[in-house]
Amino acid sequence: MNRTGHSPTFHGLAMVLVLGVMLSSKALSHCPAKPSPTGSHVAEMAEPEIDKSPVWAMIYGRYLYLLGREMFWPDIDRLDRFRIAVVNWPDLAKDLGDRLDGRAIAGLPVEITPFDAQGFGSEKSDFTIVFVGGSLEAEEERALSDGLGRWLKKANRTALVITDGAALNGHDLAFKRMKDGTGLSLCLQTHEASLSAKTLELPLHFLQKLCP
Amino acid sequence: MHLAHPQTPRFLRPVMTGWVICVLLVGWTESIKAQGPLTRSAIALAEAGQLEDAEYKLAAAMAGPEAQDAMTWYVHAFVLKERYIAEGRRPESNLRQQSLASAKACIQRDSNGELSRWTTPLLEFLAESHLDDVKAAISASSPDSPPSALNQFAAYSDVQAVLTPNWNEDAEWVLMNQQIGEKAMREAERLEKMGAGPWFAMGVHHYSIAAQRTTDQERSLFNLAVHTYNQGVREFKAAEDDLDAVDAALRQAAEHWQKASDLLDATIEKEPENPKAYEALAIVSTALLNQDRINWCKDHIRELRGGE
Repeated sequence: MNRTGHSPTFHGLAMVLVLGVMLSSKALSHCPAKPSPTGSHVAEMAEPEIDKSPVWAMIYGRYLYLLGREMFWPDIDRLDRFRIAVVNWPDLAKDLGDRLDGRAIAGLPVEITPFDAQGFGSEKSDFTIVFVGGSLEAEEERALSDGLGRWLKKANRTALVITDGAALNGHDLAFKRMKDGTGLSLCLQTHEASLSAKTLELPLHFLQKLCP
Repeated sequence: MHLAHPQTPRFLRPVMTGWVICVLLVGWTESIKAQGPLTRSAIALAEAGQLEDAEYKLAAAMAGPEAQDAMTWYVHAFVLKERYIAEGRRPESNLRQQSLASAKACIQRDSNGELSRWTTPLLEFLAESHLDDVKAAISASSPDSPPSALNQFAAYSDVQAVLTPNWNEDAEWVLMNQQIGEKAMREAERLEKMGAGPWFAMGVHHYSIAAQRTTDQERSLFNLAVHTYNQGVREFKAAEDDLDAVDAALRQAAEHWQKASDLLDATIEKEPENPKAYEALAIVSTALLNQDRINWCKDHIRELRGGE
């Protein structure tokens, strides 16, 4: 069979249906036909396209949404929006934006704001949740710590600060990726003192997911 | 009539068919002198459209000395083929297999190939008709239907084995299974939560059996890997908004992703110069948290692209 390389798009079903009505062709073939070494007419078949969705952003997005929904937020009555800052992970901000579009958490409309580390350091307002991505990458850690530190210095921060694994100064909780054999999961590592100071308690469901 | 060339436009076929009948009749008339009486009688009955009566005559001819005559067997093959057409070209009819058996018997007795000008178009007709059935069966294939495309292909391959010296079915057999597999995977993608499972299993089956043959093996492996990875992503996306359901979907997805990773390793082993396989493996390895593998893929992609 001739093969000239992998093409980026695939129209397999359409091709099959076209094949179904190509009653005058002499052999099983795609169009355009090329002669094969056997003398039949078999030509290249395009490949399916791999799904490039950012799967870990989707996984974290699910966890964040479920935590937001199940957690008791002591001062929620004072707020008019459920504000989530997503620092250094645009894919996660987009996934959450898509997932939560038109939905509410704790009865409040959700607002997702993406930041880079520097921009977050300059942000003046408080949030309900701050999520910091890329925290385990050595080249990101300093900028993230600086940004988070500058933001925390501004008065009276109440947001639940979550990272994607690293214990950055000022964090309350980390969602850590776990690989056990072929199994994948997220586990939670808490900073108890920080959570207590904010009078935040994890839901029971999440307490069962603490890291070993 | 079989003698219209397979590539002839359909609107010309009746004209071609009439012309071919004339040629055939002239040929028969010339040959009649050499035929035994039972075969001559069968030819006359066939010309009159009395196909079953012609078959009885031929059965008698084949039970006696006329069985040694190659033309007797050709006429038998022809009459059976005509019956197949007259009975509505039913895919499940076994008249074509009987016709093929008689055509083979004719060829065995036709030592200097004098009758090949007739047996060849007859065999081409049989092959083309089976191929039409293969294509229809591919379009109609579903997890609930019997594997009729495979059966029709086997019949098609039997004819091609007679028609084509050193016939090798692999390229078309693999392509057929890739096509059925692709159709099934597309259905699985379309249906997502609503019954995608049986279609995905069907796609896995056909791509897997295609991948067992060396012909175009790297494509079968690569396509199966991509569909298997995508199925994991789709299943995760479809998980309910519940922490246990999300965890279960992630575990299930990881199984698909690991299989996809193994299939991509096998693809790369067969085709180490294909950057698409490394790109796909990098994506799968990202999902599986295999950082070493991601770096390995990136190095290969860079190398294959001339150190960009």
